[in-house]
This record gives sequence, C-alpha cells and structure tokens, in this order.
Amino acid sequence: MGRRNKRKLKHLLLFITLLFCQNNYFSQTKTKISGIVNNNEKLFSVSIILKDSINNSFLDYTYSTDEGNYSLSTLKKGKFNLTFSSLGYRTKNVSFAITNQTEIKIDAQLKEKPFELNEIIIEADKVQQIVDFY
Amino acid sequence: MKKILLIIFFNIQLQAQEREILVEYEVHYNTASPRVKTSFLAIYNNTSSKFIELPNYKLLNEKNNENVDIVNINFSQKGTVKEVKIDFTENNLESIEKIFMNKLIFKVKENIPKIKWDINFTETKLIGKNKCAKAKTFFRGRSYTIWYSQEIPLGFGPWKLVGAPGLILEAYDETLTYRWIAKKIQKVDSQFENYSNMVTYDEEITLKKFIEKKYGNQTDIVNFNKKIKSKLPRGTKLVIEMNTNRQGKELIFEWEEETKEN
Repeated sequence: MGRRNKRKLKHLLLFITLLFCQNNYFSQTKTKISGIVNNNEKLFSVSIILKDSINNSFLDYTYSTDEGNYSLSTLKKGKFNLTFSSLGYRTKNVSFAITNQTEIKIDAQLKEKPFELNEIIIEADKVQQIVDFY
Repeated sequence: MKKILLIIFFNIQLQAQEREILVEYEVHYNTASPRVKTSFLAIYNNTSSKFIELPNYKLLNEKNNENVDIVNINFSQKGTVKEVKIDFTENNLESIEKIFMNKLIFKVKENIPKIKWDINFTETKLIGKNKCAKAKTFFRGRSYTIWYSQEIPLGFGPWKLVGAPGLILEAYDETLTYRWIAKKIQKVDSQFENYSNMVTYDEEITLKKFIEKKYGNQTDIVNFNKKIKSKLPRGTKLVIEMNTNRQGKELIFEWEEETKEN
C-alpha cells in the first residue's frame, strides 16, 4: 500500500467516525412518540396533538392511520400533553415527560360519545377590503 | 330473504352515515372581476369529504370604496358545479375541472397531497363561537394562511386544503386572491345532496395528463383565435396577447418542483 493510499484511508476513517458521531448526537436529541389508538377496533383518522404542558403550544400533530397507528417526534425535553380526539369519541389527554428516552410508546383507548351537532351560524362579517387584512 | 338482506344493508348504511358534518363557506375571488361564490364541505365519518362550489356568483363593486356593497347578482345556471372529493381510506382525491375554451368537463384524479402545515403560531381568534388557531403552508405555488378550529378534530377544509390539526374555518392565500370563510356548520341536508347530484363530467383523467392538456399544446386557444379572426372583416390584423403565465389556484406541481431542483 502506497503512502498516498494510506493517507486516503486515514481521511476516510476520520470521515466515517465523524459521521457516526453526528448520528449519535441526533439520536440522543430526537424523541419518537408512537402507539395505537383503539376502542374494540382500531381507530382511523383520530387527531393526535403534542402540546407543551407549560404554555400549551402545539409542537406536532398527526392523524392515526387506517391501522390505528400514529407516530410523532420532538427535539424538546420536559413535560408534555398528548391529546387524542375524534368526532364521536371522548377526548383523551395523556401527560408524560421526556428526559432521555429516544422512544416512548403511548396507546390510547377512546370511549364512544354520542355525536351531537347543533347548528352553528357564524355571524356574517362585512366584506372586507384588502387593506383591512394585514 | 332478499328483503331481510335489504333491510340489513339499509341499517348498515344508516349507521355508516352517522357522523356527518356540513360546513358552508363563502368563497371570495379577488380576480379580474371580484366575485363571491357559495360552497359546501361535507365530511363523512372522519375519513372522507366532498367539497362543492356552486357556479352562481355575486359580483362585487370595486369602485365604491366607502362600504363595499354587493351590487350585481347573477344567477346563471349554465356554469359547472365544481367538486373536490377526498377519500383517506383510498388515498384518493378527485376534482371536477375545466379548461379554458374546451367544452369537456374533466374528473381529475390524484393522490391526496401531503400538505405540511406550519402550526408554530400562538395567535388565536374566534370564528363564530369556534376558537381557531393559525397555521401556514406553501401549496402548489401559493402561500396559504388558515384558521382551524381547535374543537373540531377533522383534518379537512375547503378545496384541496387538507391535513390541518382541525377543521379549517377560514383560509386565504398570501395575495388574497382566494379566500374561504365559514358561514354555517350543520348536518348534511337534502339540499346539499341535490347540489351533489348536479356534479357531472365527460372524461376521467390523471392530474399529470390534465396539466399536460391544459398547458401543453394550446390547440384550444389557437382554435379560439381562429374563430375570432373568421368573424372579423378581411384584411383586419388581429393581435392577441395571451398571458402565458399560469393563473388559478395551482401554479406549480410537485413533480415540476423536483425537476427544478435538479
């Protein structure tokens, strides 16, 4: 093996180690939250919202797949609320904390609730001019 | 036996139609001649929706600036009823579209677009009694701002705006050319079914093929120019300036964005 090749190999090794470091760094910060939503059967299209428990701001959201699965992720640490809601079901809130975990599993069972809809009429607002919007 | 089967089937259908919701929107087109249309969004069982826009419109008077009044009401029945149908169980979106100077009505099929909504906003406002939060996205060449209900967990909205954390009650694009605002939330009624039955089409086509047809070789427009020319006296020079820029809601498509990046 020539000197040149050796140098090349060294560079490659360094590059690979750097790549691994980076990988490690990311996997430590990102937390995946996943699970299954059901009531007797798997529930499709349930809205799942991840909120910061302190200021209640939305961090991430998704809808359950036709197999009742969902998956969310966050880079933050601390206390969180996970809200499961769907029309015709009782909304469920789950509180949890993220410290060092890379993966959290939260399954939810939703109870049925009669779906009632009262007619809502939204007050007619005046046709606005473009200037008013901003 | 047949009767029993029929009854059972009917029962299932009734149950399946249990969770329905109908939203009425006013659509503001701030285009060359500003107009307001009425549209409806029906959502079935949290998984599919039907959005219908009626052809009737009210023209808005631009000149009268003090209080923008509705002056001209035009109820022509000739126009097409537009529809956007979304079915999440089959990942399918169908829309009724027309091409300028083409008599055919197309049913355009595509996969449901995956819209990434930026929900990182703290602003809220009330639309009716609904507490709504703000979200933004960039979709097919336009930036949209929406206000979605925090109490109605349905990822549907007017036109093709899907996948927000809640039901969209107001949406507008950055240039305010298009704006949808909810007027009423109720149960699906027979009137909506009537409108829905008015939807017709001549040809089924994929989105990619439709766009090729719409913007590819513009034979329809060439024919249109010929038609005008034939009605003018001999020797008249006809100059037609066509706007080659795309107009309408969708200005660029996903596959075009990919090629641009390359």
